[in-house]
Amino acid sequence: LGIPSTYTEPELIKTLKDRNEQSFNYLYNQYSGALYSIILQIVPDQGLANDVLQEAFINIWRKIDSYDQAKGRLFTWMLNIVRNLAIDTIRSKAYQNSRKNQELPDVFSLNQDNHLTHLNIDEIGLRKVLEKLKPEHRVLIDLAYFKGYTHEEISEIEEIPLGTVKTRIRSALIQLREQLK
Amino acid sequence: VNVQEYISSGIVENYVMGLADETESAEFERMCELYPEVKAAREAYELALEETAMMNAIEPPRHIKSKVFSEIEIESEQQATALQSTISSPTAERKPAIDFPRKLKIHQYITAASLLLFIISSILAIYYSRRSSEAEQQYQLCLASEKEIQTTLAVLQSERDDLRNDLHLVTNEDMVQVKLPAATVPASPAPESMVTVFWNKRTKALFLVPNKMPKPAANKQYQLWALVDGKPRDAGVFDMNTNELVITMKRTETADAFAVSLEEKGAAHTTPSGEIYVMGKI
Repeated sequence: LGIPSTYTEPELIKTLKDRNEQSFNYLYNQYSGALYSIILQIVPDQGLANDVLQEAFINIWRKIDSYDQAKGRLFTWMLNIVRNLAIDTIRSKAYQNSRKNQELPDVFSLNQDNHLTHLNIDEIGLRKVLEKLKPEHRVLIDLAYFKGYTHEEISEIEEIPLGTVKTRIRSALIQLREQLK
Repeated sequence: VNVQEYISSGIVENYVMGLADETESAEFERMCELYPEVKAAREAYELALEETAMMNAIEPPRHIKSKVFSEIEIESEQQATALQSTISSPTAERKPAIDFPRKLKIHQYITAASLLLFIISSILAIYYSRRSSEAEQQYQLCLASEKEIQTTLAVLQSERDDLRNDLHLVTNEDMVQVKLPAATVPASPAPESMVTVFWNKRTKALFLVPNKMPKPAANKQYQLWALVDGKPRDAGVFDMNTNELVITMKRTETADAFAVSLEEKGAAHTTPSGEIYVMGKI
C-alpha cells in the first residue's frame, strides 16, 4: 500500500533525500548488518561499535543531501561515513586511554541466548581477505584502511619512503581486488 | 592517456576505499566523467566491495535501531518547526529559493552555538546547584546553631532571673536575716554546719540558704522549724539534692527562732523527732 518492500537504488536515493522514514527504515534493514561488520573490523569493542553504528545512521540521515550519485554508489558513500566514524573513535584520546587499561585482543559479544560468543575479527569481510596478502602489504592496508593513518604517517611509522608506501598500498589494493572476485 | 593503464594503476580501489588524497580524487572524478570505462571499473569494484560486505553482514543489536529512529524523529520535528518559522518570517521570502551551502552553514553555526550554550548552561547549572546545596547545608547548620544559642540563652536568662530574685531577697528592706549556726546546738552532729534563714516580715515569705550542711543520706531530709514560744512549727523540708542557692520554705506568720533537724524522708513531720543540727534566734 504505497510502501515498497524493495527499492531500486535511484528510488531509494530519491525517497531518502525527501526524508522518507519508510525508505530510511528499508535502508537500515538492508545495510546495517554489512556496515556493522565493517565497524567491528575497525572497532573491536562491541559497545563502542554499537555507538558508532548508531551515530553513523544518524549521520547518513542528516547528510543524505550531500550524497552525490555521480561520485559513487550509495553503499560506498555510507561505507566511508562508517569507516571515518569508526577510525575517529579508535583514534580518540578516550579510546586510547581505555586501551591502556584493558587490552582486548578480540571481540566478545553476547549472542541471542545471552552467551558470550567469541568473534574473531580476522575471520570477517576484508580482514579475512587481508590475511591472504603478503605481510608487508597487509600491514599497510591495516594502517591505512582500518586505522586511518595518512600515507605520510605510515611512511613515518614503518620507516618506508612515501613513494613506496603509495605504490605498495596500490598494489595491495589490486591484490585485494583479485581476492574479492 | 592510456585509460586501461590508469584503471589498473590501483586508483579505482584507492578512490573507492577512501584512501586517495584530494588531488587523486579530483582527478579520478574528472576521469569518470570523461571515460565511461573508468566509471564502469569504479562501479564494478564498488559492487564487489558491497557484495563482500553484504555476505559478511553481522546483525547489530536491536536497540540500536530504535535509538536511531527516535533520534531522527526528534530531528524531523525540529526541522518542521524551523521550516515553519522560516516561512513565517518576511525576510526569508527575499532569499533565493535554493541556497543549500549557506543554509547548511547557518544551520551548523546555530547547532554549534546552541551546543556551546547548552554546555555552558549545563556547567553553570551544575556549578550553581552545587553552590546552592552547599549554601543550603550551611544555612541548616546556622539554623541549628542559632537554635542551640537560643536554648543556652534561655537557660542563662532563667538562671540570671533566679539570681536576681535571690539577690532581691537578701537586699529587700522587709527581709529579716537569721543566722542558724551549729554552735547554738551543743549536741549538733555536724558542729561546723550553718544555714541562713530570710524571713519577710511583711509578706511572711520564708527562704533558706544552706551555707554549710552535710548532704543528708538518701532516706533522710532536713526540716526547718519555726519556734514560737518554744514550740516548733513545721516551716518546710529540704534535702540539698538541687543546686538551689536559696530554697523557698513555708510561709510563716510568726517566729522567735528557727531550727533545723534531720528527719526520715517523706511528708513533713508535725514535731521534730530527729537530731537538731542548727538553731538561731531572731
